[in-house]
Amino acid sequence: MDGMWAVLLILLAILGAPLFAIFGAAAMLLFGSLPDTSITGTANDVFSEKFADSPLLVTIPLFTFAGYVLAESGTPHRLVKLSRAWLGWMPGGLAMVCLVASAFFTTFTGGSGITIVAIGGLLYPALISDKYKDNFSLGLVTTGGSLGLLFPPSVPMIIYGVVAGIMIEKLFLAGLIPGIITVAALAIYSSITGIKQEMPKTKFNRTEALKTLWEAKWEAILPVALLGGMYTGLLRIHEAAAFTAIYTLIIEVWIYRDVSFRGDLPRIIRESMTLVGAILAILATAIGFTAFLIQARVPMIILEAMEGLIRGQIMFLVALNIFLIGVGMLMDIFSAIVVVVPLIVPIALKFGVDPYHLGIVFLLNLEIGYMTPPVGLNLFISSFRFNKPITQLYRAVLPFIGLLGIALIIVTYIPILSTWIPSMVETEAVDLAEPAEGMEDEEFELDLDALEGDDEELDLDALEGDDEELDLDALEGDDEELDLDALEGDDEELDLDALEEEPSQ
Amino acid sequence: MKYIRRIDRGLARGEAAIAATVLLVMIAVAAAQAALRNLTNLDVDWANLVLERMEWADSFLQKGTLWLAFFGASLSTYDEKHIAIDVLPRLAPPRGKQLLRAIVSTFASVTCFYLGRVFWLSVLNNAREIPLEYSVLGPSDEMIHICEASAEVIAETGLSRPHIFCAVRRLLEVFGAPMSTPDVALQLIVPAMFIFMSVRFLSRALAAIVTLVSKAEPESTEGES
Repeated sequence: MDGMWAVLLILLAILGAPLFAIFGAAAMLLFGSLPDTSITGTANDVFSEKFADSPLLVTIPLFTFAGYVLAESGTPHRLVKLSRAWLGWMPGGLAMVCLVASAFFTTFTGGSGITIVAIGGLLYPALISDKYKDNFSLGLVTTGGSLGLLFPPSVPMIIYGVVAGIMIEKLFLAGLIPGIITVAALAIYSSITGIKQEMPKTKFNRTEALKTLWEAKWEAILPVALLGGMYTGLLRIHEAAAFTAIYTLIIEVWIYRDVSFRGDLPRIIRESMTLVGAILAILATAIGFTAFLIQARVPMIILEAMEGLIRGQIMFLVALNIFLIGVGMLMDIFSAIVVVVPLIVPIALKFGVDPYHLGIVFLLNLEIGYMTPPVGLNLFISSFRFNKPITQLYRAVLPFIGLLGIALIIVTYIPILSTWIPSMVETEAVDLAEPAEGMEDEEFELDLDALEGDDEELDLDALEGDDEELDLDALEGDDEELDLDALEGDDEELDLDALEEEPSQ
Repeated sequence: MKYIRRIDRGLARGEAAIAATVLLVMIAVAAAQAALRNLTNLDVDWANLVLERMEWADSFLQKGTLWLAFFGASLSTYDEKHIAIDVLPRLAPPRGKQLLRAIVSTFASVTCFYLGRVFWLSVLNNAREIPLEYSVLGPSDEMIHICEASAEVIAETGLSRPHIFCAVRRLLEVFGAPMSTPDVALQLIVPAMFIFMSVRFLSRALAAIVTLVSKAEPESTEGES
């Protein structure tokens, strides 16, 4: 791809072209410029386990749908009432309510901005009427919009799992402590603000607290059932997603009767699938783009350039944080994950960063990027929803960015916070992200070197070149049929049947 | 322009209806699968039997997601809700907005067309491979697709012809896409929707250009939401 094309595409992106079209065009232009490669082969990756055949992909529409059903129902209202009854007695109680309700909510909707509309929309007027300062309230509800990203089952986390090829169940666990730290940092700030400004407190009333819990019992039990189901092995991840979808559907349509099956549901499905389509279109087209980056050895080139400058894990993590905040400011979270993760993962592995720790650092960085001026997405949603100038929002979120920054530093430089819980869980499946036992780091590095060396290029050339086509012909050609005939003898048919059944189990 | 918009709205409604059906069926299938799997673990015999007959479920869920993704993407195009860096379109004055929309939609239309072409070739490529369960030994000793074999040949092998799939395959052949398996046939949704999105983006581009040229007050082309 000529430099001119690159400039043109970047310009089009700035003008507001859909990012999936930018990635798609970039992939086609890049592969077109390579000799002896065909884009159709890469396009086929979309039908492979990298996208369509990934067992995680199906969870994205299911969880997003569940999130939209909850948002459209009386859930935000019940949730706010519940948290108010339980947390309202604390200093800065209402602010705390906002944090907890937002975190719960974002987990299902994956920071699509719907939290700001659903929870912020309810709480912002309440905060103002409780005499919280305007900027504090705005900053709080805007921050709330991405607060749940580190809690299961957040959609960006699932996408990270798909792209990085790591176990999503472990990634969910890795996010628990860091997620609590971010909420705690903001909660402490809210309390201090509450004490300083002598905010009104509601007295804790046991009857009221139990009453609100009873009212919201069906929703309150959902996270417990979901996590319980997943970690006891009762539900596999896509089954957990289906369970969540069907459960929210039943409680909102037939128990609470907040959502009408004929009146509201078609619209809710349409809105949620519009978002799913927007996310998955990017995921699908970015596969081609990242395939090119990998084929052009871009991660290795970056790594080689970095090796001279960056020594050791800590320095790498500092550079990573700075880089990712920049990425978060310029890109939306979904594109950022699909494009940047394949570049970062091999480099981080080389510096000995745990893949689950990396995932959490990555997501927390993007969470901050969501609300970082000038183009953080949440800023625009808040500005639109609460009818405030964007420049006021820039000022309003600053203290919150600072706090999340502190949380980020803690989470980045104390890896055990992310790795401790996942390490306690024995998983049956083989975890590709972790080196086999007994394999020392050095050996691992040697392996990488071997892969990076000249030999690989030779291999790639051989694969990409004319020979591949010849090979394919050979496979498709007469010889194969001869082989097949031999295989198809009476005895073998039984075996073949057996073989065919196995993978679909 | 008015008629185009009306047709477009009708199509979007149809897409939404298909997406809703696929999603609800997927939820039901995945939930049933989970329930049956757990009943099987509790040694309930009938659950095991039903589960064995639901081998297609995983593949169905994967293909269903692919369909949802592309119907959703097409609806995103209709509602102009694709993820984009939309700072400039937000800040631009109304006429500037129309100009940006014209440029961006034209680019997206061309890109979608080429993406459609790439995926079309890719699916055709996949369809060239005929898996064993869909091939039989023809009269002149070469492997042919089960839908193309005569009834006698099929009877000899002891297989049965998948009639519904063969009918769909014949229909697709008319469009130059003889599909080898239902799985591959379902992949056609990707090129089809890219071409469809290309047309939709083109109509948006034209609408924006018409508004710009006629110097009329730009009317909202936002979708119904």
